[in-house]
This record gives sequence, C-alpha cells and structure tokens, in this order.
Amino acid sequence: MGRIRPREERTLSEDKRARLERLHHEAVHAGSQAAVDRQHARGKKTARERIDLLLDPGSFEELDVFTRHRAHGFGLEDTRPWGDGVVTGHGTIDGRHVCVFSQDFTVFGGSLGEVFAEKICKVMDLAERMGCPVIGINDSGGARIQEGVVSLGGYADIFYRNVRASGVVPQISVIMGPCAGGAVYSPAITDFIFMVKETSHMFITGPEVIKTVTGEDVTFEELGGAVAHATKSGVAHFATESEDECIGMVRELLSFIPQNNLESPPYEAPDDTPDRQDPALATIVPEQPTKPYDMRTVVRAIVDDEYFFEVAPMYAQNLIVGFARLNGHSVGIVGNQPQALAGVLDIDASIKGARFVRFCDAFNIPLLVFEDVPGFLPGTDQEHGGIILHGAKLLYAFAEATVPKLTIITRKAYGGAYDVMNSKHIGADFNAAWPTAEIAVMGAEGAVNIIFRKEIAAAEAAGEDPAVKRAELIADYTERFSNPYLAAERGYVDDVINPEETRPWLIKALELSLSKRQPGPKRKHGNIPL
Amino acid sequence: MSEAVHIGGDPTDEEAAAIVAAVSAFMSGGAERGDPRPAVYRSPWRIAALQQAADRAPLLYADSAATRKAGR
Repeated sequence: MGRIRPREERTLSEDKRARLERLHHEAVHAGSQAAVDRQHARGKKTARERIDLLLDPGSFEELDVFTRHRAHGFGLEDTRPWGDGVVTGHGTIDGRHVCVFSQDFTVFGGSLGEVFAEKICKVMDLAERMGCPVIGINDSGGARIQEGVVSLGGYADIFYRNVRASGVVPQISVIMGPCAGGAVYSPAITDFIFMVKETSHMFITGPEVIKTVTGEDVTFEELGGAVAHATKSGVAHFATESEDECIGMVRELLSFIPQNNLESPPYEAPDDTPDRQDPALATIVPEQPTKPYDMRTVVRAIVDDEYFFEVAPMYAQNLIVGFARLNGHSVGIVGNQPQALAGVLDIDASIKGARFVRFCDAFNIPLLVFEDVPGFLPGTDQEHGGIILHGAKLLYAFAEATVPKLTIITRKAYGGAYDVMNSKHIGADFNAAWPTAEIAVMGAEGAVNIIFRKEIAAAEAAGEDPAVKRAELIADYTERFSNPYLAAERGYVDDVINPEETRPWLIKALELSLSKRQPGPKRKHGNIPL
Repeated sequence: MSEAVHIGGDPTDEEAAAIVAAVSAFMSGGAERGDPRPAVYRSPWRIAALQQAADRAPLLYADSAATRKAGR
C-alpha cells in the first residue's frame, strides 16, 4: 500500500494548469491575426467560428488540439502550428450527435498534409463507429506541396473512408472556400454538398490551367462557383447567399435524416391534422393537358404545415426532390415538374432523381412520388448523351429501393416514364391516381396520329376535313384511354381518389408501410448502370 | 407526473377519455420511456427490416494501409 499523499500534492500545480491554458490559447489562435483579418475581409468566417455556428452552443468537444506536423524540408520544421490547420471534434445539432471537421484557411492556407489528413480520418472513423453524421467544412488551398506524395496519400485515405461510410452514416460537405484538384473527390462522394455564392469554388483544374490548355477565359465563379455547380453541373445541392444561411440549411437538412443506416429518421409530432383536406388541390391541375402548373404547390398542400425542404432546386428543374413530413414522419419527395420542360425526364433529371432515391433508401426514408410525366425528352443530344443509361439509373434506383414507396399520379403517366416513376410494377407499395390522370402509352394526339393515320388520310381523300376527323378521334381516344380507370381495372393503381383526399390517403398508406419488411437476395452489390 | 384524477364507478365522458388516453399511451409502449414516436418505430418487425436491409450491403472492411492507420 502506498502512502496517502497530502491533498496539496495531488492538486494540479498552477504552472501545469497555466501551461495547458497557454498551449490551448496558442492552438485556438494558430492562425495569425493578419490571416484571420484577411479571412473576415473576404466575408468568410474562421474554422472555429463556423463550428460554433453549426453546433448547439457549448456542445463542441475538440479532438487532437495538440497534433502537429512532423514534416521536414522547405522550412516546414520551423513552423509547427498546433492542430495543423484543421479543427476536428464532435458536438450536437438539435441535441443529436455529429462529428465535424473544419479546415482552417488561416493556417498554411488550409493545405492538407499527413497529420491534417490523419485528423480528418480519425474523426470520420469515429463517426462511423458511433453511427453519427459527419460534416466536413472545406476551405483549403489543396495539397501541402512541401509534404509531397504523403499529401496525396492523405487524400486517398479520406476518399477511402468516404466510400466506406457511404450509406452507413450521412456525410455532408460544406464548401466555404477553395476546394480544387483531387480534393473535390471527397465532397463528391458525400451525400450533400453546400456552397456559398462568391466565396466557395470547386474545380478539377482552375482558370489558369484552362486558359493554357484550351485558351478559354473563365472566372473562378463562372467555372466552379456555387451557382455554376447548383445550376449547370449539379455538383452542389445548395447555393446559399451567406455562410450563416448555409449553416442554417445544414442544420435543417439534418432534421429530416437519421443518424445512421440502422436508425429511423427523426419523428416530429405534427401540428397539422392527418385528415386535413385542402380543397385547392381540386383546381391545381389544369383541364388542358399541355398547361403547366407548379408541382411544389401540390406537394405543399399535402405535407405537414405545407413545408417542403427542396434539394437541388436550381438543377434539372423538371424534377423536384426534397424532404417533408407526413403526420410527423420524414419522407423523401420526388415529383415531375410540369412547369419546367413540361416535366419530361431527361439525363439531368434522371441522375438527380436516382441519387436522391438511393440516399433515401440507404437511410430508411420513405419515398413519396408525385407523377405528371409526358415521357423522356427526345433529341440527339439526349440519345447521344446516354439517356438510355441515365434513365435506367432512375428506374434501377426506384426498383431496388426497399423503403416504403408511394405514388400519386396527378395527370400524365405516359410510356416508359410511367414505369420508371415508381410504378406498381417496380415495387411501389401504394399507388393512387387522381381523376385527372392519363395513364397511357402516350398522349391522345400522338396516339391518334399513329393509330389512325390511314383513317385520317382516307377522310381527307373523301373530301372531309382531316383536322375535324383527327379531333373526333382524339376526343374518342381521350375518353377511352386517357384516364386512370384502365390501370385501376388491372390493379396498377390501388385507387382513384379525389385530389383533396390525398393527404389522409397517403398518411394511412405510409403508416401501414412503416413496418414494411422486404428481404431480398444477398449479394455484394448490384450493377447500377453508372 | 400529471395531477391524479379520481375515477368513480361511473366515469364521466371526460374521465373516460382520460382512461382511454392513458391506456393508449401504455399500449403504445413508448410513453413510459419518454419516446414520443408512434409504436411502429419500436416494432420488432420494423427493427428486423432495418437490420435486414443493412445486412444486404457489402462488407467493405478489407485490411489496407488506410484501415490500419485508423486504429490510432
């Protein structure tokens, strides 16, 4: 037995306490004041300010504050800031645990070296072990060139973890500065990318290289800014006006998704009543099949509190995707948008939809589809661009999904696109059509032109007005085929319902489906047409 | 704890409603644990479904330099 030491001997000495405090202060202020000022002057926050804004107040616990790089050469050994330019740790968002890393542009320009990468890998591994989301805030000048190939290895270690965690825990990338070259592949693998207008950029090769190689003149913003990626490439799901707005949206997104692939999405006790019927739904779909309307209006009239959190609202606008709640249950919404390109499916819409459907399926979020689709977009651009493969992605994604799958057909459900849009045939659990639905191989006009070509020509030859004959035939075809009842006869839709009854109908279907269990064949993975 | 309500042999409509609410909460099996979610979220059937869905996924834990480094 050792002797019992006097209390004063066991107390942490003041000098040790002071040393810890001093080192902590140095670590928190690893970036120079001048660098912090430059960051602020660009309208950007520091790595720690961003974490403070993202997490619940006082919840952040930092990891690896006292790590430092071990590199030599090029003068690196003379500058070894605590933390090595990235802040990592864990905290809570709305009381739910998350892991986070935030690259610090004020230290070595946020460049990634060996220790920097190890810190990110460690916090990613932690998220995967604990089953919580990982949020990465990117603001980095790229690889730390002085560390050479070790930096490249660091990137690959991160990519490997991104892939391993994919579909296991949600991964969110927030781009708040440069993210260029190979570094872009980490965010690209994650589930959602947020960008801030004017201050964040993503590209493989920058404007200078492009100018040298192709002669093109392009600005950073035009090439890889938030708007470019949110509208043209589809790389970014959200383009926000400010860092504050961006972080608010990250928090909002997380409120719809579970912590990991074994948990259910968060349930939020609803204020809205399940049997609410919105009479406005009865007049939203125009009588004329060619007249557009906003599918978001339909969605909002049905979901809880009319709140629809749209994802990628500026990309492939002919298909809307996003999250909402139905009687408190989180759902993923996919809808054709008649307001854009008449709601056709094209390459971009197919890719956008497929990726969203797979995210929802990976994280146990039921799918709710609103269908008004005239078909796939015709044209050589689409055919040569691979619409066959890309359209198949959406079909594949819906077919492989085992979460509850519900479909409402509001108007057109034509041709192959009918099959693709979560039809009964590819495993949807509950499908309903409104009386305005037209479930057919194609629209009446196109069908009549093909089926009755000879009759119309004969009428013209007999001196009749072919336009009158065509109109008669179209009216007859519409009456006989452009309706939901032929599909209902065969059970392809479970019911035909009045539009205002949609919310209660969906809630009943969803709540039954929440206990859905659909075992499938074991396999390593399918071979989705990428 | 909410205030205790005395229930007589012949409960009023209000008392009857309180009994039904209490029994419903008990049957849902969540109220006493402070879980506000509907009972289906705790259904063994649903939990099995989540587990089965995850079990179909590939095991991507092959040994590699990256995984070895993760052990720090």
